[in-house]
Amino acid sequence: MVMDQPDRFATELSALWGLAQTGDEAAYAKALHLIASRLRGYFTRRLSSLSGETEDLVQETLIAVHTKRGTYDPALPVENWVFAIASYKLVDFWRRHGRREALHQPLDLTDEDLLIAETNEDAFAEQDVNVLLNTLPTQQRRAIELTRIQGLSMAEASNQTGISVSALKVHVHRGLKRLASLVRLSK
Amino acid sequence: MKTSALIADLASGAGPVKRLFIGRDLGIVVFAGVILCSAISLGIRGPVPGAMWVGAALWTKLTYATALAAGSAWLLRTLAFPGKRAVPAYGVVVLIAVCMAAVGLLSVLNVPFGKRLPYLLGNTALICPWAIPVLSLPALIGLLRLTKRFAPTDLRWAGFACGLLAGSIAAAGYALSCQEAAIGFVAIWYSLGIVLSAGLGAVAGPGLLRW
Repeated sequence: MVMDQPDRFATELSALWGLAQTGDEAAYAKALHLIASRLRGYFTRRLSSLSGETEDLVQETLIAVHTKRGTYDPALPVENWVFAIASYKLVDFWRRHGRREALHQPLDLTDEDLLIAETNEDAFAEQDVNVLLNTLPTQQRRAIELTRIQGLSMAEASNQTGISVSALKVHVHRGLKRLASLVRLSK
Repeated sequence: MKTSALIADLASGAGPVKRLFIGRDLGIVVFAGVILCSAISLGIRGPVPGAMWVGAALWTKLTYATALAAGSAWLLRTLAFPGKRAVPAYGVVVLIAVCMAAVGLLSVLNVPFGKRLPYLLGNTALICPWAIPVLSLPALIGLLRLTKRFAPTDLRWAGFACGLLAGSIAAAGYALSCQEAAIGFVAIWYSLGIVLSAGLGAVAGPGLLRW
């Protein structure tokens, strides 16, 4: 009974994926949901102690799946393609994570003054949206300003900037994620 | 951002997929690499004497380089896309290397025992294995940049394949100005040069191919 789970995933996904390739957006969204729920299990099992990062990795992988859709070869099973990308993102995560942890440790151990200074009221007052936005790379800031503050649609923003819609989506996503982590960091 | 919101964002206006193929661009980079390597090699040392075009050595070098280039291009094509089985392509590359080693060994056995070392060292054994990786650099940079546009998932080996292909291209260009006539020389020093290029690619891969 347990064994037929992967097979059902594969058949459902390949049917949806076929439709998605031809431009069926509803099928594409369903396929991405299917992939996301499958990846959650995949990453949770492999991250164990860091399972808080699962959702981030799922989203990173979905973005990769989306931006690299053109590299899928219909002669192959979709799940092979998806899991190859997922395992790449996992290895990449471990590499980044190891490095970031190494950088964080001395700060946590020694600089308690720094942490206290960051929590006073003035620090919060400075957290105006624009100040935060200015810390982002130009492309991410611009993408967020246009689509989330000025309220343009993705297509309009794409016209205005000359950046493709799918690249804009990625910029917005990465930018919002970065903002969230900035806010978390300064609290 | 919630995952469901991200999915809605990604799917809206996604449109039909435009499949990416590597063949044409790979052909362009390889062609440009061959022209550039040949030009540099001929420009610095001049062409081999006309008599070499009727001997076996030059053709062995060119055949070896071309076969390895074809094998490693296939390997690179496989490794640039997620989820493709690369084992057959690795097999072809190993087979070509084994064939060259066998031919090289036979040629050495035909040389009288006392003359084998000078036969294998020729006059340029210390130049050839360094010249090939240096000559391969432009093609290597071009190939790494090309590969990054696709979706390599094993960066170390994808970099290796870039280096192997760039090294093979460089070896072909180098052969046009190399006067060594011994097959055994080719088997050892050309191979070493190409392996060094491949190593260069493998070292650069994880850093330069990230996407």
